[in-house]
Amino acid sequence: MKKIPLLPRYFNWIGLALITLSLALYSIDALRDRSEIGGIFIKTFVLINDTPFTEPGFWKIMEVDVLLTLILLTMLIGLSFTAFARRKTEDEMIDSIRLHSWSWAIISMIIIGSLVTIFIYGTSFITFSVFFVHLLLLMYNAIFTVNIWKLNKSQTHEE
Amino acid sequence: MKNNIKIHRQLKNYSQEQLANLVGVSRQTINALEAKKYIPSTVLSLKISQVLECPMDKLFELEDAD
Repeated sequence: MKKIPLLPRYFNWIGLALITLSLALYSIDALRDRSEIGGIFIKTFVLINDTPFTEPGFWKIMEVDVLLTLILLTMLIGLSFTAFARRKTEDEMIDSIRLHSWSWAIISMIIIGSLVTIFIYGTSFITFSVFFVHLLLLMYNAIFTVNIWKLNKSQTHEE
Repeated sequence: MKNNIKIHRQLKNYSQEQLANLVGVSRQTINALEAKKYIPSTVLSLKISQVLECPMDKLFELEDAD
Protein backbone atom coordinates (compact mmCIF):
# COMPACT_ATOMS: atom_id res chain seq x y z
CA MET A 1 0.00 0.00 0.00
CA LYS A 2 1.26 3.51 -0.79
CA LYS A 3 2.34 5.39 2.32
CA ILE A 4 1.63 9.08 2.94
CA PRO A 5 5.02 10.88 3.09
CA LEU A 6 5.44 12.26 6.62
CA LEU A 7 8.08 14.17 8.56
CA PRO A 8 9.67 12.86 11.80
CA ARG A 9 7.64 13.43 14.96
CA TYR A 10 9.81 16.25 16.36
CA PHE A 11 8.75 18.46 13.41
CA ASN A 12 5.46 18.94 15.26
CA TRP A 13 7.34 20.90 17.97
CA ILE A 14 9.37 22.84 15.39
CA GLY A 15 6.06 23.71 13.67
CA LEU A 16 4.48 24.91 16.90
CA ALA A 17 7.58 27.04 17.64
CA LEU A 18 7.38 28.61 14.16
CA ILE A 19 3.65 29.32 14.56
CA THR A 20 4.40 31.02 17.92
CA LEU A 21 7.22 33.03 16.30
CA SER A 22 4.90 34.12 13.50
CA LEU A 23 2.20 35.21 15.98
CA ALA A 24 4.84 37.09 18.02
CA LEU A 25 6.08 38.92 14.89
CA TYR A 26 2.48 39.73 13.95
CA SER A 27 1.78 41.11 17.46
CA ILE A 28 4.94 43.25 17.37
CA ASP A 29 3.90 44.61 13.96
CA ALA A 30 0.31 45.25 15.08
CA LEU A 31 1.41 47.12 18.23
CA ARG A 32 4.03 49.37 16.61
CA ASP A 33 3.49 53.09 16.03
CA ARG A 34 1.96 53.44 12.56
CA SER A 35 3.12 57.05 12.15
CA GLU A 36 6.72 55.87 11.85
CA ILE A 37 8.20 53.77 9.10
CA GLY A 38 8.70 50.33 10.61
CA GLY A 39 9.31 46.82 9.51
CA ILE A 40 12.45 44.90 8.67
CA PHE A 41 14.19 46.41 5.65
CA ILE A 42 16.81 44.27 3.94
CA LYS A 43 18.31 44.07 0.46
CA THR A 44 16.93 41.02 -1.27
CA PHE A 45 16.14 39.65 -4.70
CA VAL A 46 12.64 40.60 -5.85
CA LEU A 47 10.77 39.13 -8.78
CA ILE A 48 8.16 41.89 -8.71
CA ASN A 49 7.85 44.79 -6.24
CA ASP A 50 4.96 47.15 -6.85
CA THR A 51 4.43 48.35 -3.27
CA PRO A 52 2.54 51.69 -3.42
CA PHE A 53 4.65 54.87 -2.84
CA THR A 54 7.95 53.01 -3.31
CA GLU A 55 10.31 52.54 -6.22
CA PRO A 56 8.94 49.73 -8.40
CA GLY A 57 11.22 46.80 -9.14
CA PHE A 58 11.31 43.81 -11.46
CA TRP A 59 13.84 40.95 -11.31
CA LYS A 60 16.48 42.82 -9.30
CA ILE A 61 18.09 43.19 -5.88
CA MET A 62 16.54 46.00 -3.87
CA GLU A 63 15.74 47.04 -0.30
CA VAL A 64 12.27 45.96 0.77
CA ASP A 65 10.25 45.42 3.97
CA VAL A 66 10.32 41.68 4.65
CA LEU A 67 8.32 41.67 7.90
CA LEU A 68 5.08 40.48 6.25
CA THR A 69 7.09 37.93 4.25
CA LEU A 70 8.58 36.57 7.50
CA ILE A 71 5.19 36.45 9.24
CA LEU A 72 3.54 34.60 6.32
CA LEU A 73 6.45 32.26 5.67
CA THR A 74 7.02 31.19 9.30
CA MET A 75 3.27 30.60 9.68
CA LEU A 76 3.09 28.58 6.43
CA ILE A 77 6.12 26.42 7.27
CA GLY A 78 4.95 26.01 10.89
CA LEU A 79 1.46 24.88 9.86
CA SER A 80 2.95 22.53 7.23
CA PHE A 81 5.27 20.94 9.77
CA THR A 82 2.43 20.31 12.23
CA ALA A 83 0.23 18.95 9.43
CA PHE A 84 2.83 16.55 8.05
CA ALA A 85 4.58 15.45 11.26
CA ARG A 86 4.32 11.78 12.13
CA ARG A 87 2.21 10.84 15.16
CA LYS A 88 3.29 8.55 18.00
CA THR A 89 1.47 5.66 16.36
CA GLU A 90 0.93 5.56 12.61
CA ASP A 91 -1.18 2.88 11.00
CA GLU A 92 -3.83 2.51 8.31
CA MET A 93 -6.62 3.94 10.47
CA ILE A 94 -4.60 7.12 11.12
CA ASP A 95 -3.90 7.27 7.35
CA SER A 96 -7.63 7.02 6.72
CA ILE A 97 -8.34 9.81 9.25
CA ARG A 98 -5.68 11.93 7.53
CA LEU A 99 -7.31 11.49 4.11
CA HIS A 100 -10.76 12.14 5.57
CA SER A 101 -9.45 15.34 7.22
CA TRP A 102 -7.85 16.55 3.95
CA SER A 103 -11.12 15.96 2.09
CA TRP A 104 -13.13 17.98 4.61
CA ALA A 105 -10.49 20.72 4.76
CA ILE A 106 -10.68 21.12 0.96
CA ILE A 107 -14.51 21.07 0.98
CA SER A 108 -14.49 23.73 3.75
CA MET A 109 -12.04 25.86 1.78
CA ILE A 110 -14.20 25.66 -1.38
CA ILE A 111 -17.19 26.89 0.67
CA ILE A 112 -15.14 29.65 2.41
CA GLY A 113 -13.51 30.61 -0.92
CA SER A 114 -16.91 30.89 -2.61
CA LEU A 115 -18.35 33.00 0.22
CA VAL A 116 -15.31 35.29 0.26
CA THR A 117 -15.48 35.69 -3.55
CA ILE A 118 -19.20 36.49 -3.48
CA PHE A 119 -19.32 38.79 -0.45
CA ILE A 120 -15.90 40.47 -0.09
CA TYR A 121 -14.67 43.11 -2.55
CA GLY A 122 -11.66 45.36 -3.02
CA THR A 123 -8.37 45.12 -1.12
CA SER A 124 -10.01 43.07 1.66
CA PHE A 125 -10.52 40.28 -0.89
CA ILE A 126 -6.77 40.29 -1.67
CA THR A 127 -5.99 40.21 2.08
CA PHE A 128 -8.26 37.16 2.49
CA SER A 129 -6.74 35.50 -0.61
CA VAL A 130 -3.24 35.70 0.91
CA PHE A 131 -4.35 33.47 3.79
CA PHE A 132 -6.12 30.75 1.75
CA VAL A 133 -3.25 28.23 1.94
CA HIS A 134 -2.71 28.99 5.64
CA LEU A 135 -6.41 28.52 6.26
CA LEU A 136 -6.41 25.18 4.40
CA LEU A 137 -3.58 23.87 6.61
CA LEU A 138 -5.27 25.29 9.72
CA MET A 139 -8.56 23.59 8.76
CA TYR A 140 -6.77 20.29 8.16
CA ASN A 141 -4.93 20.49 11.51
CA ALA A 142 -8.18 21.33 13.33
CA ILE A 143 -10.26 18.59 11.65
CA PHE A 144 -7.53 15.96 12.14
CA THR A 145 -7.02 16.86 15.83
CA VAL A 146 -10.78 16.81 16.51
CA ASN A 147 -11.14 13.41 14.80
CA ILE A 148 -8.26 11.91 16.80
CA TRP A 149 -9.68 13.41 20.01
CA LYS A 150 -13.15 11.98 19.22
CA LEU A 151 -11.61 8.58 18.49
CA ASN A 152 -9.66 8.53 21.76
CA LYS A 153 -12.72 9.71 23.67
CA SER A 154 -14.92 6.96 22.24
CA GLN A 155 -12.41 4.19 22.98
CA THR A 156 -14.16 1.57 25.07
CA HIS A 157 -12.31 -0.24 27.81
CA GLU A 158 -11.20 -3.70 26.88
CA GLU A 159 -13.42 -6.48 28.21
CA MET B 1 -19.98 -4.75 7.73
CA LYS B 2 -20.18 -6.92 10.80
CA ASN B 3 -17.12 -8.54 12.28
CA ASN B 4 -16.47 -11.20 14.91
CA ILE B 5 -12.93 -10.13 15.74
CA LYS B 6 -13.67 -9.67 19.43
CA ILE B 7 -15.10 -13.22 19.82
CA HIS B 8 -12.22 -14.87 17.95
CA ARG B 9 -9.65 -12.75 19.78
CA GLN B 10 -11.09 -13.81 23.13
CA LEU B 11 -11.15 -17.44 21.99
CA LYS B 12 -7.42 -17.11 21.34
CA ASN B 13 -6.92 -15.37 24.71
CA TYR B 14 -5.33 -12.31 23.14
CA SER B 15 -5.71 -8.83 24.54
CA GLN B 16 -6.37 -5.96 22.12
CA GLU B 17 -2.77 -4.83 22.65
CA GLN B 18 -1.39 -8.29 21.84
CA LEU B 19 -3.48 -8.61 18.68
CA ALA B 20 -2.50 -5.07 17.67
CA ASN B 21 1.21 -5.90 18.05
CA LEU B 22 0.83 -9.14 16.09
CA VAL B 23 -0.82 -7.45 13.11
CA GLY B 24 1.24 -4.23 13.31
CA VAL B 25 -1.39 -1.62 14.19
CA SER B 26 -2.26 0.40 17.32
CA ARG B 27 -4.58 -0.85 20.07
CA GLN B 28 -6.91 2.02 19.16
CA THR B 29 -7.34 0.53 15.69
CA ILE B 30 -8.30 -2.90 17.08
CA ASN B 31 -10.70 -1.16 19.47
CA ALA B 32 -12.27 0.82 16.59
CA LEU B 33 -12.56 -2.38 14.51
CA GLU B 34 -14.35 -4.23 17.28
CA ALA B 35 -16.65 -1.26 17.83
CA LYS B 36 -17.41 -1.28 14.05
CA LYS B 37 -16.13 2.27 13.71
CA TYR B 38 -13.51 1.38 11.15
CA ILE B 39 -13.50 -1.06 8.22
CA PRO B 40 -10.04 -2.58 7.75
CA SER B 41 -8.12 -2.84 4.48
CA THR B 42 -7.79 -6.22 2.75
CA VAL B 43 -4.18 -6.51 3.95
CA LEU B 44 -5.12 -5.91 7.60
CA SER B 45 -8.14 -8.25 7.32
CA LEU B 46 -5.90 -11.03 5.98
CA LYS B 47 -3.34 -10.44 8.75
CA ILE B 48 -6.05 -10.63 11.44
CA SER B 49 -7.49 -13.75 9.82
CA GLN B 50 -4.01 -15.34 9.81
CA VAL B 51 -3.22 -14.43 13.43
CA LEU B 52 -6.61 -15.53 14.75
CA GLU B 53 -6.51 -18.63 12.54
CA CYS B 54 -10.02 -17.99 11.36
CA PRO B 55 -11.26 -17.82 7.74
CA MET B 56 -12.18 -14.36 6.43
CA ASP B 57 -15.84 -15.27 5.85
CA LYS B 58 -16.21 -16.23 9.53
CA LEU B 59 -14.46 -13.08 10.69
CA PHE B 60 -16.37 -10.61 8.51
CA GLU B 61 -19.98 -10.60 7.36
CA LEU B 62 -21.78 -8.28 4.99
CA GLU B 63 -24.89 -6.56 6.27
CA ASP B 64 -28.03 -5.64 4.28
CA ALA B 65 -26.87 -2.01 4.15
CA ASP B 66 -23.57 -2.97 2.45
